[in-house]
Amino acid sequence: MREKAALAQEAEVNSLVERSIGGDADSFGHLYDLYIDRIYRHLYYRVGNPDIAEDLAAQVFLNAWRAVGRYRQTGRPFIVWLLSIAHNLLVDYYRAQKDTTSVDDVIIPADDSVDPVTVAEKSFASASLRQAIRQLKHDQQVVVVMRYIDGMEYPEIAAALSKSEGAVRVILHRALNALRGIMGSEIRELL
Amino acid sequence: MKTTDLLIMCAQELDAGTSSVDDIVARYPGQRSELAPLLQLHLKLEALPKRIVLSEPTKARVRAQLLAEIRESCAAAKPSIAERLRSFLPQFVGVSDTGRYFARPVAIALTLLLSFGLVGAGTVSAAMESGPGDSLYSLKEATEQARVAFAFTNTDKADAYLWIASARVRDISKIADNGRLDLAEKVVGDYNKSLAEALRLASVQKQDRVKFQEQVTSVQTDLHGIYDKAPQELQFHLAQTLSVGATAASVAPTGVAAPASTSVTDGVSATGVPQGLPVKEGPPIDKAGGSPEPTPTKSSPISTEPFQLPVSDTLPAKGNTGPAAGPVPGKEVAPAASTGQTSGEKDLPVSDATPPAQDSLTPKTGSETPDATNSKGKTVIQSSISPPVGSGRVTIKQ
Repeated sequence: MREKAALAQEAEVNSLVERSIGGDADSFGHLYDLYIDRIYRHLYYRVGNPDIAEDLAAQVFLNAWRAVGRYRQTGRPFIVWLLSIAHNLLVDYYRAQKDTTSVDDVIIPADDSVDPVTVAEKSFASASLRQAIRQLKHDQQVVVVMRYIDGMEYPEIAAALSKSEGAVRVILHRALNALRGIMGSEIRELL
Repeated sequence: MKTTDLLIMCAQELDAGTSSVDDIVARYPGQRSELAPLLQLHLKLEALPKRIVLSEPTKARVRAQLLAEIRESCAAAKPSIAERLRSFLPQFVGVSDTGRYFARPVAIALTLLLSFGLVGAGTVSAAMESGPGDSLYSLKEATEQARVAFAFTNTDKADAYLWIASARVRDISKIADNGRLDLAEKVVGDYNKSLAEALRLASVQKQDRVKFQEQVTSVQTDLHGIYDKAPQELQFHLAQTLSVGATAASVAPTGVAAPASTSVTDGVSATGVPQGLPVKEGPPIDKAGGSPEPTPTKSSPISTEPFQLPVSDTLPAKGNTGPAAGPVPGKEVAPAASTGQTSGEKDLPVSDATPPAQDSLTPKTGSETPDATNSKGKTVIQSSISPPVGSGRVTIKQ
């Protein structure tokens, strides 16, 4: 049943993509509706600033529209393709912001808890972790975000980054070790 | 087993809920010191908030901006085949008189090649049924220009331009149906240009005047019929067009029977009627050349009185793209603007037909959630998962 729904959605996405390739802006608008949340979330975790994440998300879709004619459905899901655009965009962004980007601009979204102390503690913990993620090397950062935030499987990450699955696993392992080092004593408290 | 593979395998066990960290480290005591913190870190990463989304209004705003930019870039990036030909030919033949002499045959040859040689008659036929925004629309425009290029007398050219104007009326009807209002300005503008050319050329033709007049009236009546059913944004463009028509009628060349009267209708300017389609009631136009003073009434703007063609032995000056055929000799008339509107139009009320405000592309202010950032621009704890609106666009290099 779940597979059927997934297949139906895949067919719908393929149809929207084809129509977008044909120049149908409205179909591309539907693709935006389907994927904006995932793209925004990915960018938010990468840059840590909602304003910039929002701007970059819009830019991802604009770039995707410009390049959609070159998108070919070779088994690579559309979201993976979008995330690879987001990654490339971020590389450019970091390059442009090399000397000015601050890692202190932490956003702490609240959760459902009504206890403000718990909210604050959880927020602080996750904020520290997010801040640590943004201090990782770019390849480690993108693998961590794709794996833990975007919920992508290793083959999908490998496809998005044009790497082998084995390479992705190694990068993730190194990323976890790097995070452990970045967080230092803080991680012992968290653990 | 490599440490990486072991870590991934253990993480998958944690995700599946089949083992705890303690279970795993008990199984691999020799690697406890490395595995335990990494697996705990894995769990913390899995627990990171994933419900971070844009708020619905922000999503809608970004979507509107995105689609506006897409449509704008489409319009800018895809000149019609006719426009490409026009921009290409001067380079090919130069700008000398000799070059201009050869430009038409080259244009005809290229257009024919495009129309029949490369794409085939079937495609051309399909293109003629296409509407604004369709992929074959450029071919349709090129085919229309080919008909103009093949017309070697003013009579034939006037017929060709009127035929194009009629096609634009059908296009306007299509965009009224399919909601492509972003194309309304262009299509209505094309209609104005074509009709203006038809009237300019027809003013010196010597035959078939009655038939031509009937055709013009028919085209304008069709346009007025669309106005009644059109969305507000399209009505705005049409109201301007229809105003131009009526204003043009009031300054028509010798021989033109100016409308006997005019009136204000709902949401339309006082002269919001097709040229030569006088309204039933209202004050008489100042035949001495003064602008009519509109008196608001609620009468229907449509009359079945036929359009009357201007009579002139000289070809009116090109460049007035509105349907006006030129000023009346001896009469004081306000100069026509390049858009086809006369300066007198500023007195004609069209405020009711103002198009809806467009989603602005102006920089964001962040005012939607003013508490979200501190004075240094750093974000602090939010009360909602939905983040605040940004304060400025980031231009990213491609």
